[in-house]
Amino acid sequence: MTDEAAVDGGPEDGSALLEVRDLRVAYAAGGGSRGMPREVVHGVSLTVRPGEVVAVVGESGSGKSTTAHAVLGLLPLGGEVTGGEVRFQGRDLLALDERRMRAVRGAGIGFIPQDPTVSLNPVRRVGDQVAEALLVHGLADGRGARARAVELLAEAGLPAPHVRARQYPHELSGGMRQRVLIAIALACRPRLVVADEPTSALDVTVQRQILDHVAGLTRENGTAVLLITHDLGVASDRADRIVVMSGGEVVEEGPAARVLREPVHPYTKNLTAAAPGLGAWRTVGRGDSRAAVPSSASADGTAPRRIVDVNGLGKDFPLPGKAVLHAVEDVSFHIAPGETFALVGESGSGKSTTARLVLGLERATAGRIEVAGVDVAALTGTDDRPRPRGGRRAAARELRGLRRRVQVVSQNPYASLDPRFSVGDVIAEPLRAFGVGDRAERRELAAASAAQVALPPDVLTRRPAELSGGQRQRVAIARALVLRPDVVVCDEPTSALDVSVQAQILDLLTGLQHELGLALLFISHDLAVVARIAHRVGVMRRGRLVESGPVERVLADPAHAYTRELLDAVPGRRLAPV
Amino acid sequence: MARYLLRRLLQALFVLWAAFTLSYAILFVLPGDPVDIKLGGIESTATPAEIAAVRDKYGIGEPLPVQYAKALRNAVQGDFGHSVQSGADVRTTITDALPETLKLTGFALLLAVVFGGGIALLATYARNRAIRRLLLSIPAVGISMPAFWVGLVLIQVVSFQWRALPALGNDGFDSLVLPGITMALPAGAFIAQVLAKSMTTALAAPYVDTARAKGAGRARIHLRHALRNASLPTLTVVGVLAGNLLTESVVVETVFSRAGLGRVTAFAVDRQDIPVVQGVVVLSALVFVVVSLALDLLYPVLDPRVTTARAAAA
Repeated sequence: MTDEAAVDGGPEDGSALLEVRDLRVAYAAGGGSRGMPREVVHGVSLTVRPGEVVAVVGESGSGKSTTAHAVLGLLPLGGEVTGGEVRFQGRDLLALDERRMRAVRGAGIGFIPQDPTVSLNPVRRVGDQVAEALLVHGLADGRGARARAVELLAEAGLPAPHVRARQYPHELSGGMRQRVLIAIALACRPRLVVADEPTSALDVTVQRQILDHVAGLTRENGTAVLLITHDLGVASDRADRIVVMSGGEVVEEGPAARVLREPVHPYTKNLTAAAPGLGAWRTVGRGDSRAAVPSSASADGTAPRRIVDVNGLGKDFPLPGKAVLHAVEDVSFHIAPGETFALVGESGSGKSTTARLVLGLERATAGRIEVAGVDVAALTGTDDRPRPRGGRRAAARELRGLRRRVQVVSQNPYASLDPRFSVGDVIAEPLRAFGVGDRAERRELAAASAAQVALPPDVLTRRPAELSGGQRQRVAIARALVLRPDVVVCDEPTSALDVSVQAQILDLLTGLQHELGLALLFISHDLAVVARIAHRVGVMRRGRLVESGPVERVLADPAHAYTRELLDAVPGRRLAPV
Repeated sequence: MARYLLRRLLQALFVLWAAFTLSYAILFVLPGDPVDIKLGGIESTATPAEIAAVRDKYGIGEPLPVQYAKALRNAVQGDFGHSVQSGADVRTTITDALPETLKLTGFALLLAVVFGGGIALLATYARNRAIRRLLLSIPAVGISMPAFWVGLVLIQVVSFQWRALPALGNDGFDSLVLPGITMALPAGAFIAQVLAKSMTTALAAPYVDTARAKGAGRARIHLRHALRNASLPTLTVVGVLAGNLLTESVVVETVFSRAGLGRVTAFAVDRQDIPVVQGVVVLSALVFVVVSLALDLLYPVLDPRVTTARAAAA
């Protein structure tokens, strides 16, 4: 623990279940054996008492996951514990040989991994994977283990466990797979469970059910939980105590309520201030960062100007056999210049498909999409209204013209920038594509666009790989703005970013919207982010728009049951302002 | 499933037809005349009447489409005609030579899978960095050595210097060892490279972490979790290799003076014995088609996510 850490974790009564003392972890530089190892965890200490839930909170690179993996002796290749102790039930785990450590893993300490979609062996039945946990510790014979596996799956809340046990991971949804992983982690009734971001890959409503379930099971069995999370809301809802990590050190530690309400360390203060989950919708209208909608829109009593007008939009995808997936059904909304309309929904709700339809990247099955008075759906053709014969080339030309006016910022800034381009080339690419200006002019426009998103001029010559996630997303925004579009479609632009960076990007977007009068179509699964940026919001579920209206109204007084369910599932309610 | 099989069967027939037609076309445009060669080439003393008689016998005088149609009709019935050189039935020529070649390629494939797979597993299992590197460098050496050269070195050392194994001929299992090793070397090296790469990828996968967190041991993790996931790309490679080994038998059987399909092929190509060459080409295509169909049916068994059959049948 560092000197400046605020400690009030209670008296050291010697009954600690897990005691990490001055843990240091280093990674070999560059993956090779040469070069100095780089230390990423600098003397971390933390304690978990029996039956207690301790959350370790921090942003990416804070060393929280590395700490968790070090406890289990599961550091990735190149990682090495260089100092300290990990005492579990009084034994120093770091001193155990591989065989003894194996007896602790699973039996003494269970582990719930981060991403359920890749954490189960794809070629083995899930029941066998649960049974294996019992088999390797000799807790059951083959038949007994399989029978017990079904019980464990039932206990983890998997419906029809005897059927599911015979299935393979790909036949289960993400939430169901996480339940299988929970069954594995709890199979041997361990005293401690280490949960590494157990629900960050899941939808909020699923996340809530899963976390409730884990809480119930661990309480019943008196199991302690070391919960690793980037989400302050989750930590505040679930933990007895919170340990805040930053830059490989513990900067603050204490009872959950105290740490979040009265943070002592400046880093924790920043984190709590930036976290959008903490009851943000209750404070809508007060100190939010949204740009005011230009009053010219509808104040004079005339029909509001619409830059985007979507009517009765539908999109079907054929499924194997004769079945059809109605990905988008009868969706209608409009966006005025200078306005942000958000589409919220969980995975599979059709929100991203809607965005792709507006961008003219998919062919609609039915309906109209007008962007700046041009019918996109007519240009791409729809299934019931095919594109006029002979007009194909003209339509393609017009569609291309439209692309100048509608730009996109996509979800993952790590994947959306060509790694071989320099940042300057990335930003200037749309200009090249549309033949705008000569080389020098393009360079100037790219530089201006970069300045607009507050990127320092020297990044233009660098490669995307040298930039942080937040900087990369700024590059993506600069690229979207360089053609001076009227509409920018933002598809989950902040979901891959840390909360503090997320806040900066949202502020940047609203600032730019105010300055340039942009209309934003904002796709998000995160109600808290939506509350912060959107003027109006539409809630999507299974391809349909179940509710839409001004953000204040929808979030404060939801009309549809599903919207209420979504709102209730958002973590961090315990810390909403009273 | 039945519809899937039917579709695959039609595809297979198309491939066979294409192989037949392509080989027919290539051999047609090649310079040289099989009748000339049969009758003694440039030093031929045959009279024009004799030449015409031979041409008539093999139907070479007829227009090309008629020749092609006849050949195709016969081929469908399994009749590839008679060798221009020996006059023997092509089907008999091939079926007589095939068992020896199948023995050789089968043995070579077995060696390749056992040693290639073994090296890959040992290399990924080894904790010691130096051993791991050493094992992983073996395949690169194996791939870079040409088969005929390896064959000659083996004959020189093992047969002539040590007098341990016969160098030539088709004399029982002993005579199979050296050509088998010669063929297995590049194939096994290829298998080792692909499997080692897939194993490394599989061992870094998150589900391996899950297994380790359960307390599973190293052997269990490598064999029960990683190997099955890593085996799919290797299986594809083994399928391709099975076909390639047949091709390679041409070189290896020549080096080791073994009777077999490779020798028959080399001899037939040398003398533009069109019926024999065609028979061999169609047989090779048949082997490829059968092997790839077998692999396609095997994938879903190994990986439940692969449902080509179900998706296609639906």
